[in-house]
Amino acid sequence: MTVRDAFLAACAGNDHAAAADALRAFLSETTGTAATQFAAKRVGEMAERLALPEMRVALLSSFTIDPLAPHLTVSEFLAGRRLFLEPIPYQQWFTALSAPGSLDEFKPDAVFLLLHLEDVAPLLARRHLAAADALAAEGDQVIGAITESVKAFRARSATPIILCTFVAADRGVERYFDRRVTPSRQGMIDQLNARLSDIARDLPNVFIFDYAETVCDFGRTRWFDPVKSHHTKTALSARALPYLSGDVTGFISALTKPRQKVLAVDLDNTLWGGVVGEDGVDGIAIAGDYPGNAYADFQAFVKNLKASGVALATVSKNNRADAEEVFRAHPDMPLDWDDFATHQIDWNDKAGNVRAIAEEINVGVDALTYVDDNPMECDLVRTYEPDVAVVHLDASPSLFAQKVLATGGFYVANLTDEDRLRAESYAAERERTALAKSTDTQGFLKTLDLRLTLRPPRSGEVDRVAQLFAKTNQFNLTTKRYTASDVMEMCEDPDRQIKIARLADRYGDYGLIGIIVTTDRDEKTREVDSLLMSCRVLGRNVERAIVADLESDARDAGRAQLIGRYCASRKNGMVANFYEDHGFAPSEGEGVFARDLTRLPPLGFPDHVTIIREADAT
Amino acid sequence: MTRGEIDQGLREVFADMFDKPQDSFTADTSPDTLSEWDSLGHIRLVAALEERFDLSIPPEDQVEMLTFDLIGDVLAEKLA
Repeated sequence: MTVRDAFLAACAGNDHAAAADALRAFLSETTGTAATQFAAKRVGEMAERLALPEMRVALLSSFTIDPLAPHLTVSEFLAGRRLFLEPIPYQQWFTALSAPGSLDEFKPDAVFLLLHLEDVAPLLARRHLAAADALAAEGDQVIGAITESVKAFRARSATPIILCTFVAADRGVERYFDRRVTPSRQGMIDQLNARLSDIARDLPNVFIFDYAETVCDFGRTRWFDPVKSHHTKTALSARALPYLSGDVTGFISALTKPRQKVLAVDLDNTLWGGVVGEDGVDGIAIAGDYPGNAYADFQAFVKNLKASGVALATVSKNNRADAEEVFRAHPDMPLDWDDFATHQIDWNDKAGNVRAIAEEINVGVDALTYVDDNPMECDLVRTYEPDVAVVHLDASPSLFAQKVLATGGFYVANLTDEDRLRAESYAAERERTALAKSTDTQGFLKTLDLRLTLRPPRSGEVDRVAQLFAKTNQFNLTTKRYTASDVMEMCEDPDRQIKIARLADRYGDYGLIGIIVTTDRDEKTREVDSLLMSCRVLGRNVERAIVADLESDARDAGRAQLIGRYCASRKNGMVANFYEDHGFAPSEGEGVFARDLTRLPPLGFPDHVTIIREADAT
Repeated sequence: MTRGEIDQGLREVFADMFDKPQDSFTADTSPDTLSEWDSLGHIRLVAALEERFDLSIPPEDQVEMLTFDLIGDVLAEKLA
């Protein structure tokens, strides 16, 4: 059976993973336009039959991007999604963003804006020396057009917009002097890209796809095709298309899929070369010549991963004291013992230890990636904990970091302050778990020294608020999915009140963990529209304080009645009795509860939480 | 490469690009008889042919590629 026949057979079945494997085998043997066109047709049909999750992508570009379509269908299928693509004709990117039309009707999940320098800044691209006095105006015009059109679209839709960085298609006479003189062509391209970053930081839900770096990965001279650019306006060589579609799909995954939260690492022959139990602290390879320098670089990579918000854990068959001594005593270790949120170093089986990590720091096992050089340990974890992402480090340590990144699980399209803090908060969570086990609940809560900040969101918090609306499933009374632009509207609406909750305790800062939205129905009645809290802070009875606060706000506003609503979803069963547990009585209608503020006394704040109110600084 | 081999390669590429059986194409197949062979289809077809026959087809030659048979002529000349 040829790989082509095997691929066709797999497409006739219902197993997506098997079809994806067969597709990879087929394309590794026969890449190219014809094979991809053929494959895209088959996987498109299969994706429809299997009803894979839809991904509606609008590609706005300054050149004919249509030839990318079959490649993107294929890469999205490999990522488990069914692509719907709207390539807007290349002259129309500005109009499509600026005014309502087919882009809006398409209802995209993501909008990419891919502009080539040659098309939108021809002076800078083609004759920057001959037109030096006009370059600044051209740059302002380009950035102005992007800013204006993106803002116009943002006002109509909260869909993520992804701006692509600029890169020149070729290099001219300036090749050897460019960075030495003024105006520097590359320097001006850098400035344009910096201004794109400013747009992305200033507007909600705008991201940057670093197209220039993608081109750099692949090789500029093989990426662009000057003949096709002039002849058919397609600009890209056919061989660049699979690479571009793969990277665009990677970005979409980073934008839409939950990130892996924990990296659990083996020690011997993973973080250092050799076996500490046999070779001793002085005998292992870390720093110095190969392979020690490769292990040191992998440790640096892991440390950087932690700084991006991924919690670290060790899983190793060793004497704990031996392992700890390496971290404490070896002078060349980039990683410290305390960089890890938890250590599982003993002689127990690793599947059990991986599970223990997830429990200790309170995350699902599907949010955990485990890496080990030992194939048997990897198989064991795969078998007993199939939801864990397992990376077998079956290569030179110089390639370990790439292997971990290739899972895609650690990529994200943005990094908030909460994300950065998260690795620390997992370590704190483990200490809390330990304390909770050693004492009774009420005593435990009091020792935590919880500090809850309640106030309207500030402009820098809108992205995080939208993120929480999008991701919170369990402690979420109505599961309304408000976007960043909805949130901004709410802040302006006199009949609506929105507050965010931030929580800290003696072990650390949890960041922004809750949202409360209320609506005044009329002079007498206020309704709780949304009430949700991150599951990271469950079990601390912070919700008591939140309800007391919103009740007290309703009284201050002179309302006589407070209405709460529970809309059952597949995942929010834990809050089904929330309102009854907090002094509300069942009222008319399914899932509707009411509290009479005229007859009943104030709910009162629990004494284990300190409330901090800051003035609205929006 | 003989003309027969060229035509067979051409059939294989046409079959993948236009999602039809290889024997459904004749010497006279053209954009007039095949709705999928539109301007975008032509751009993709040229890319696929360049890969299949490992050559580049300049714009000057592409204007002559009006039918299945004429494409065969262009390829035969380049591969001679």
